[in-house]
Amino acid sequence: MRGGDEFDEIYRAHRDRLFRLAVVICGDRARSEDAVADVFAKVLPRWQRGAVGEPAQYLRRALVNELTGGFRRRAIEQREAARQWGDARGRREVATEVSDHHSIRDALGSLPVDQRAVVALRFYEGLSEAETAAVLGVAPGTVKSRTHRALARLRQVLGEENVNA
Amino acid sequence: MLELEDRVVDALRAIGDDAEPSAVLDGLVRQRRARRLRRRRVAQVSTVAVAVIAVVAGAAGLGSLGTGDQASVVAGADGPPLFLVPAQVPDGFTLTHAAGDGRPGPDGGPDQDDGPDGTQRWVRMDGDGRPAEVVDVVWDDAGAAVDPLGSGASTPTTVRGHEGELSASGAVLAWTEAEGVTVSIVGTTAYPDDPGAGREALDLAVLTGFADSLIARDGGGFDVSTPPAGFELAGEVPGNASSGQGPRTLVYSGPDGRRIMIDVVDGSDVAPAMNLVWTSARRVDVRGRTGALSPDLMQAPALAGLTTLPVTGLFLQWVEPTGELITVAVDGMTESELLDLAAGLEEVDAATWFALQDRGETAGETPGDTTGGPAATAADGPVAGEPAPGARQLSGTYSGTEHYALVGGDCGVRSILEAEFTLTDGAAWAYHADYCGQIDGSDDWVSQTGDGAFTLPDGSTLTVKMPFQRLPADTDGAPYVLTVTAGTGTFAGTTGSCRLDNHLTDLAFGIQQQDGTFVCDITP
Repeated sequence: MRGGDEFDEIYRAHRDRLFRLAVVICGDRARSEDAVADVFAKVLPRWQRGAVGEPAQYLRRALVNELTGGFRRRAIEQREAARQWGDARGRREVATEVSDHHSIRDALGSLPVDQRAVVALRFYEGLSEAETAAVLGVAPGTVKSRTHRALARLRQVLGEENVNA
Repeated sequence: MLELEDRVVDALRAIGDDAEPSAVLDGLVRQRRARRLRRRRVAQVSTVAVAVIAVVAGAAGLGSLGTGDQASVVAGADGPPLFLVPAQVPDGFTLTHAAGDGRPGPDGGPDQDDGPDGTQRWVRMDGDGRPAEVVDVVWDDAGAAVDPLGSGASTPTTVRGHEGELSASGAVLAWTEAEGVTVSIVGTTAYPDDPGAGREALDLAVLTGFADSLIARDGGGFDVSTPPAGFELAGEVPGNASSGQGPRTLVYSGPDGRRIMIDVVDGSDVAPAMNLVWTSARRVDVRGRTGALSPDLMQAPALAGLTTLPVTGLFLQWVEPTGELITVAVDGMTESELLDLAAGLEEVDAATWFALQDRGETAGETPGDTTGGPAATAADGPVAGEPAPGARQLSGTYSGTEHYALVGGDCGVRSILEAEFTLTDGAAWAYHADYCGQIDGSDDWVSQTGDGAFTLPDGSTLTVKMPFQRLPADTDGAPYVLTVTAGTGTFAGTTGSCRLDNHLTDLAFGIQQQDGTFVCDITP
C-alpha cells in the first residue's frame, strides 16, 4: 500500500489549483475548502489501493463531482444562490458601477452549477469540449449545449443579449 | 473566441488568482484524513465513552435516559433479537412495511465523518418540565486549524487561561486547550418547534460557568464538575456515533395521512435524552423506562429497508433494559395516542416476526390481537398486500426523468417528472408530476409535495396527490405512496393509492432519473 508521505506530496502539488477551480465554480471560499478537503480525504484510500492512475485528472473530476453531484447539491446550491450571490437582477446596477470582472462574477453566480462547471473547465482550465466532457462524464454535445446556454444566460444577465449573438 | 468569452476568461483568471488557500484548508484535510482512520476505532472509543458517562449521568439523575442505559448491557450483544409489535393499532391502519432480522450488520447510521469527537448536552428545564435552555459542550482533537466559530466575526477572549473567542452571536465560546483539543461551549434557549423561529444566546456567565468547571478526562473528553444552577446532564454522544445495527422496522399507514413507525435497533450510541432540546419536548415514562418525547430527532436510528424516516410528526425514544434503542413515531396522531401505542408494544418471537414479513399475514394475527388489514412484505419495494375488498390491484415498473430547478420562494426546488409506467400486462401509462421542495436551514433535509396524473392510451386519466415527504438531501430515493384523488374515462370515480419504491440516479445538475416498481390499489 502506498504511504501517506507520498500522498502529502500530491496534496501539496494539487492543492492550490484545485482550490482555485473550486472557487471559480462555486464562488465561495469556505465551501471550496470543504470540497477540496473532502476530495482529498475520499481519494486517499483509493490512491493507497493503487486505484488512482493519474492524480491530477482524478482529483479534478472528483472535485467537480463533489461540487455538482448528488441530491445534496440542490440544497447547497439553493443556499449559495441566496447567500453568496444575491439576486443577480438586483445587483446589476451596483455591479455596473465597478469592474467588468465583478459584473461577470456576479453574472456567473446566476448560472446553475452544471453550467458554471462547464464554464470553469472550458474558460478557466482551458479544457477542450472533449476533455470537459470526460471530466463531467457527459457527452461532448452536452458540453456544447451547456456552454451555449451559459453564455446566453450571461449575456441576458449582463444586459447584452444583442451583443455577440 | 467571442468577446464575451474573452471577458469570461479574464474574469475567471482574476477570481482564481485571488483565491489563495489558507491554513484552514490544510487543517481540514488533516482532520478528515484522521477521521477516516478513527472511524475504525469507533467501537472501542464508544464503549469507553459510554462507560464514563454512565457514572456522570447517574450522578445527575438522568442515567436512565441517556447512553448510560447501554453501559450495563451491550445492546443485543448476546441474547436473541428483540422483536416488538403493537398490541393494537387504530382502526383503518394497514401494515405497509415490515423488515429487518436483527442480525448484526453494517452500521445503518449516517456518516458522521465530520462530527466532533464528543458532545455533552446539558439542559435547564422550565417549571413544566420542558427544556428552556440548552448547553452543548463539544470537543474535537482535530487541531487548532478548525475554527468552531465558522467564518463570522468574533471577539477575542481568555478562557481557562487560553486564547479563545466569543462568537458574534454570543452563543459560542471556543478555545483550544494546550493539548491541541478544540472545545466549544454552545449555549442557547431551547429549540423552538417552529424551525423558522430563532434562538437566543445565553448569558456569557453561563458559558464561562461551564468552561471554568471542565475537567479533562484521561481518555479524552471532559466532565463538568459544577454546572451552572439548574442545568442537568441530558446525555452524551461520542463522535462517529453509531445509530445502531440490526434494525427491525414496522410502518403502519392509516387514513388521512396518519402513520406509525416502530423501530428497534441494537448497539446504538443514540442517547434519547439528546432530544430534550425542543421547547415542546419532555420526559415520559414508557414501559418502565424514561423516554424522551420530542417533535424531532437529533439523530435518526438505523432503519430496516428504508432510506429515510417515513414518519416525521412526533417521536418517542427510549432504551430497553436489554439495551435496544426503541423509536416510535407517528404522523397525524396525538401524544396520548403515541404513548398508548408505545406502552402496548409486545414482544414476539422470531418465527412470528418473520411470518409477519414472509407470509403476509395480518399483524392482527400475531399474538396480542394486533392490527388487522393486509401485512407488509419486502424491505425495499412497494408492499404488494391483498387489495381491499372491491379494489383492483395493478402493478409493474416505471422509469422517467425528473427535471428540477432552483426557483426560490414558496417553491424552493421545482421538479417536473415525466415517466412511463409499464404494467405487468404490457400496458403503458404516461405519468406527469409537478412538485415543489423546500430545503431546511441545515441543508440536510428536503420536504416536498405536489400533484401528478396518469394518462392511459385511451385518454383516461388518474389524478394523484404526492404526499408530503421529508427526505435527506443526499437520498438515493425513498418509497412513497400516491393518493388517487380523481379519475376520468374508464377511471371515472376511481379512488385508491399507488405505492412506489423510488430510486434516484443523478444524471447532471437539474436532471435525475427515477425508476422502480409500483403497486396501485384502485376502487372500483
